[in-house]
Amino acid sequence: MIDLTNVKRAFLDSSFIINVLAAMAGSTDDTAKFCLKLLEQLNSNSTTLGVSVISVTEICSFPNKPNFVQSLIQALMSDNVEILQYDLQEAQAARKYGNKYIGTNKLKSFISSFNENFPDHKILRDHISDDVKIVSTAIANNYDIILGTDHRTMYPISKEMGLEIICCHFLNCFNCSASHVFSFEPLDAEKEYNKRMNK
Amino acid sequence: MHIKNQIAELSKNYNIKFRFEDKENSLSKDDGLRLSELKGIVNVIDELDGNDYKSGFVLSEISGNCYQLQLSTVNEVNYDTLLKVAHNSANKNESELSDIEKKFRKAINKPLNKNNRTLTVINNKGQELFTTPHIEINKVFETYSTKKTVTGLITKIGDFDMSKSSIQIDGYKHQIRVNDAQDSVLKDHYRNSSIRAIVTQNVNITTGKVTSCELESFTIIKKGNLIENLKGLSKDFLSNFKFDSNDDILKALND
Repeated sequence: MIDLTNVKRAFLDSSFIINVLAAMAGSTDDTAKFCLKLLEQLNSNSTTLGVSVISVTEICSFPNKPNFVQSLIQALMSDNVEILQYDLQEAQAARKYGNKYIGTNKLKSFISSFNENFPDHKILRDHISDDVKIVSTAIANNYDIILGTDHRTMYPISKEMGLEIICCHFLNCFNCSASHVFSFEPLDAEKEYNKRMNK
Repeated sequence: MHIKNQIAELSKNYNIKFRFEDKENSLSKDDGLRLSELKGIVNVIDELDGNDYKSGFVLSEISGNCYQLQLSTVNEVNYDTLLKVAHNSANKNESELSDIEKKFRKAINKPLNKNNRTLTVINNKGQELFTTPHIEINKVFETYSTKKTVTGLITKIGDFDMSKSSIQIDGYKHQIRVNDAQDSVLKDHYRNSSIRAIVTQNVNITTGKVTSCELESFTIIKKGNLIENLKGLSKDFLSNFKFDSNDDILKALND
């Protein structure tokens, strides 16, 4: 069980941030609303939030409107947010912890398990590569948990690399009240992942 | 008798001569060594003997058409040390040299750079110990540089050395050197605003430890936490994120 009432440092995946923005845009989707609720809780607990520049790139690539990127970056650069580059120590972490995914053959065997969900292997490969880099950035900068909603690639990659992932799409794995999110149960999440991925 | 011996011992000087020559023996008082060529040697010797007024080296004689320096000390240990440093600087491989020997090699190379000059070192007994020409110094890279992003409050500003400026950022243990322009802007944000700093770190190849840091660029972080700042985004902006479900979001991320 992971206690979420007093988190000091949490890394945010792109999928989590977009869900928060979707909730703010009026989405009634449960995952989006939950992400916003959890972020509000972390905010009030003065949790330091880490964001990878790779996630910033992913989020910025959505619309192509003037001032969009600038506005988003301005908003992300907040008191409690660290925007972190992918650099040498992150690359070292990628090699150390992401060994399973680095190298063509290793990547191929992982990709082959996604046949049904990801028909385009090239996009999947890029996606995995980005996920490995995001997780490596979190590990290299001493984050213990990452918040995301991507159960298909980020979830298994993060688990494999040893970083605890709070998958906010697995809503049944949280212990929460109307106003508070108390904890997350990784063992339930593992079952949920296997169920959803037909494993 | 005993006291006399002690006095004799105390007054005993140990002399080392550094004789610079060129092939034509053309060094003279009209074309001698420049002060700029000698000051490095003097500085290193000063550092080596601890700049002790009583037992440190003194420049006791300049002879031989202005190219032979005699340095004297009453301290035998200092004498032996200088001979050893001079010998090693001239004869050992770069990787075998101590820091002071590296400095001495660099210092003696300065006057040796010109006109095929040589240096002969002569000990207290007047024996020529060795002669060396200019020594090739292979540049040894001891550090590599890497960039790091550091985010946090400026918790310290200033430096012990008045000619330098540096800052410290909360959560990052190393002092970060800043230039004058950066310093004047950052002063206003001391303990006040968070900054996002891109820092160049010099890392020792052997130890992997950061030896120095320099501020490349920085951004003053907008006041307010993430939720407040995201809520401050316009409706038009947020309309870009109208997704019905998490699956739609993941699909958009993967497309």
